[in-house]
Amino acid sequence: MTEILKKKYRIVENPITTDTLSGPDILLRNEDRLYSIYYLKKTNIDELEKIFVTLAETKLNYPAKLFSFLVVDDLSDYLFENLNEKFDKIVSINDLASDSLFKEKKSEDDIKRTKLTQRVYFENKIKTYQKNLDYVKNIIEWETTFKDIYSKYHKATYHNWISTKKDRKSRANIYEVNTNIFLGQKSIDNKTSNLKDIRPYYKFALLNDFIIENKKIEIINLTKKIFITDKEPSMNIDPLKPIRMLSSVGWLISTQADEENLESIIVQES
Amino acid sequence: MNELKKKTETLIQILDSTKISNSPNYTKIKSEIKEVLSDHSIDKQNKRNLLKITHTTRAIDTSLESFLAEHGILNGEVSLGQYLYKLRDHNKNDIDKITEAERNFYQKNIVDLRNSYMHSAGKVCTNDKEVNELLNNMQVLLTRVAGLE
Repeated sequence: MTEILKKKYRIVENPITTDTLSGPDILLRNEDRLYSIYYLKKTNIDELEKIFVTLAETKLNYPAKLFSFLVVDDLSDYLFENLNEKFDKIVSINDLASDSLFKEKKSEDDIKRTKLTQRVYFENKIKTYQKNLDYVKNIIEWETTFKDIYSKYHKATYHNWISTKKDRKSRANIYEVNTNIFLGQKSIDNKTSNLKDIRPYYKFALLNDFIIENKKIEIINLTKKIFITDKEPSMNIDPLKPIRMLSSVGWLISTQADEENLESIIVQES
Repeated sequence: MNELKKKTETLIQILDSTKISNSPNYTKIKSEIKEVLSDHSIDKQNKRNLLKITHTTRAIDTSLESFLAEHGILNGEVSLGQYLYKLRDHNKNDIDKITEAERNFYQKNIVDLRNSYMHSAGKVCTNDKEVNELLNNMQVLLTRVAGLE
């Protein structure tokens, strides 16, 4: 199918931008219209969460006019209804051959609404990023021992956009201080990609703080989140990408794994 | 290199869909963006980074100028710093604005930093992390401006 699309349109497979973790499977342009295409291969919860994260970050960071297609062969009525709320259009792989598909456009009202969300998102992301850059620059030594300060907090739960309740428990060390403040703890491992290390924290923040309703991304609540770590997360090819990604969804980096300092950050950020 | 190539393709795809692509300077803008790919294979670190900054700087300055001109809001502004103020202050209803926090971030992390590289004799570009981030922030700004339409 990609070959057919390539003959008719300018496409980029697996596009990458500086401030997204994944991105759609295909970014397609037809004149001044932009389309993102996502293939859903499995319909288990993990795959659905993965595709929601990608869709959310694309809606926040790409131009608001971007029209999204979900390509899937078979869906239950329940999933169709749910996913149809999130993507602009659900199509089958054969539909991609239709010329009329790439004339679809988002409404002006939808574009306006997305731009409003993007404005708040960008402001928050840039402020958090600057704070994190300044913080990391001034650290003389990272504290490598974590203290058990979480026994008094519950493991954070989030709404995964499919179930009706906020009942998904994060597998990462994320704890809820209150509905507005979360603590994350992660020892940065040199053996795995630091982007992989931070991915669950990024996912949690996107699914918890945002929602896609009527195909538009909305902010539920930009919560305060503190990411306690023992080392600056980094990567060779783009050293600041892990910090950029954490910042983009509001995680403040901290090495101060002692209760007193954390309490003061929580008070400051409340 | 593959990631850089993919980033370049993605950025151009996004810009192609904007009014910047109507500008008579658009072919030159795309060439500058693509030049960064060939700069990447230069062995000498200082030269490699300096050229990357130069080409990205030219692309961003002309892109923002073209964006403002194509939307009819360019009014004598001649520098990146001034373009940023215009993106914050314009009164055009059909395009969005950046916030003061964004303008301030781009001023500090793009304009001031790249000026220090471009206008100071002897300034070496051997801090790969800093240069990389400057280039990243320029790409973020270009994508952001494309999204204002």
